[in-house]
Amino acid sequence: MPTFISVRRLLLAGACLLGLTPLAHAQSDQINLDAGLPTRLEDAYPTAWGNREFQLPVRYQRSRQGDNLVQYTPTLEFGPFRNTQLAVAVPIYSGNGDRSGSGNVQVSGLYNFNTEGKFLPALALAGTLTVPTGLRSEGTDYNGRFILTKSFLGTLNRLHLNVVYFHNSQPGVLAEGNELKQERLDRFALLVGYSTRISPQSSLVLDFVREQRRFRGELGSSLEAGLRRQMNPRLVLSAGASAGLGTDADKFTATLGLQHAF
Amino acid sequence: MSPKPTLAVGLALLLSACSASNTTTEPRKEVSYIRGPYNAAFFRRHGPSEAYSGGFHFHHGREHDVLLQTKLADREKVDADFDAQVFDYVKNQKTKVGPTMELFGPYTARVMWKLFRTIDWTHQHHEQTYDIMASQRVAWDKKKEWTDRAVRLYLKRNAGVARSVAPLDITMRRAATMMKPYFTYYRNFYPKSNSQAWVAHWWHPAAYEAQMISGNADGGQEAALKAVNDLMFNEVYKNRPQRMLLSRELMPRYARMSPESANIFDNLHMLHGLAYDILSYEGWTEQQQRDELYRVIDAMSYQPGDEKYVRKFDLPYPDVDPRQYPAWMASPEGSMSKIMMEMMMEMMPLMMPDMAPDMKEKMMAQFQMKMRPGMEPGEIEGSLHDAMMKMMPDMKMMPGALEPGKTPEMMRDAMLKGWQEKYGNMPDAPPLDMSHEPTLAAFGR
Repeated sequence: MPTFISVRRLLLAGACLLGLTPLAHAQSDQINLDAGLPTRLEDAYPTAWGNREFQLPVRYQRSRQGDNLVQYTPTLEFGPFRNTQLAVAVPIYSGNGDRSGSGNVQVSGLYNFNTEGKFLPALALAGTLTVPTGLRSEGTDYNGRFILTKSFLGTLNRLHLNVVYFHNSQPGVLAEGNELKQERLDRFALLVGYSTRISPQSSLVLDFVREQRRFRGELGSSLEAGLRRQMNPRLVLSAGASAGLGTDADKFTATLGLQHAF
Repeated sequence: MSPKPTLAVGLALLLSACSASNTTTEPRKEVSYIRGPYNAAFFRRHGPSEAYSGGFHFHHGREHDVLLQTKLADREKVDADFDAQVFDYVKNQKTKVGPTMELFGPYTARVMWKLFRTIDWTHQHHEQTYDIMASQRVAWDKKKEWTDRAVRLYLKRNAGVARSVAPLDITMRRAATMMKPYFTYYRNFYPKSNSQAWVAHWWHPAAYEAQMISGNADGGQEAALKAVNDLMFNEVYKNRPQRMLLSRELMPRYARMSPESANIFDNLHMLHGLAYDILSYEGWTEQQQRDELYRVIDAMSYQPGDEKYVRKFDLPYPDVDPRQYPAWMASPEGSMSKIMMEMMMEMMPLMMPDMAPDMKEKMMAQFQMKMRPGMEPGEIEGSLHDAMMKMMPDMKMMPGALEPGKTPEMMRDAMLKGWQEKYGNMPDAPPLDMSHEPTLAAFGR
């Protein structure tokens, strides 16, 4: 059964990640949030100047129609300049869901303007260019993200705001049953989230996503939650899940992630 | 006005405020660790010791927020509670990974970020040098070479915040904090928390020296560090050091191998104490505390020419065994108090040119008490400055002595001149022959 296979794959991927733990040696930071590790929320801080990090989020996605998709997104992230982060990723999809875009090359960057002050939030701008090297992809797409991070009450309780704009340069049409679904040219997503340290080596992430989905007429909302744990000085593992609200959002997703500085 | 231009203007204003204003916020400027074959060797080889170090760094990070966010009037309870909390973190190895300062001091990160950049970067240097010593991939006769590289890159990659390679004798005089109204606040008002820092600053050099006497071979460092860790709980915590131990006292072999690195440690450890003094002082606003702290950070940072002085320190216990805790380690008298006493004597002619001998005797008695943690019978409450002013209200204060962010230049110059006269021509501390790998067996026990 597809569901069983996908869940089993996800568990296997998780076991592999955990199996790496005793051998890995990296420097990541459990409070520095990257989109996809394990929720879609990103904080305003880049990786450190001179850092190199391998990331592997593995995301299982169950649609309302019962389709299953597993996304593996091997990513190389690095800090070429101060306050600047660049990353190259090639997401690979498997499962019986829509695998369009599998194999695309994504190049992204983030620039942080400041560390947060007593009153001013930390602010960053980020963007991603998606080159259509993958399955059923046409045209170069891009997105931009405006990010704010602010702690409150003199603690490490942090609020985050992400406003994301996506541009699809060549919107396509997908036949689903008797229906033709047309992709949007432009769309937005709003993420509001919270993160905090819950133990010396672990952090909690919670967020709400409201988004215009890929196809016209579809709007989705999701609640996401995740844990990030600093396993050793160089390695962070994360696990998360989300539940879709309403009829258009994915029914359920689960994510396991690894970040390993080298 | 339509929403789009309003949003654009708002965004532009926010961007310019965040990127331009150094009074409310600062650039993040985090720097990654230096890559080498030794990375994370200490964590892998000496897990419990890494956890103890992590517990001490919990103290260092958390203490900033504790002092900034609590009132001096509550100090007794705050001091006792925090002491117990730190001991729990250390003893029970609550964190296996050394934390950054922001993780436990998030409030201070927002108001004095440069302080945390300074501490975190120098803790990275600690980590690098522990790793080099712990790594069996770095042959014994290559330890110095790799350590020198780590020092070089430490100074180069984060030039604004790297600590000086000059001995503390010089950087303390450069900072000229002794007559500031906060000096000795922390040790006098938070003696238990302060002594946690001094246990940490016993443990760090003891750990280096344990590595220095036991070589690279399997079992040696493990045994030596276990002995140090056992000693910490069996003796050191029960009879805590009454002063900050210096590298030259407790890690003389390491200090001979890498005097630059040893001096960097002393300079950071003193910065911890000065930061806690400043943050526990309630006479200034947060902004003024920050101005003073940044002045001290700059004064104790690496400056071109510091290399000339790297080996200008004595070695009072060249054959020390870090697995033992003799009385001199716990005593308030040692290299640190010697530096303080010298500075005091260098300043006194400026502030009190005509002091009567009996007054001088009383002043020195107060000075000695102020250098020791806690309050003693007969000790005047407050900082060293408060005590001096109470005894001699007409004492001449130098320009810059009381203002936050200002350097009392005459005092500084007098102290640096005093050091030059006493130690300018002293022989260098000798280098260490690293061609022969030591073993614990050869060392005894």
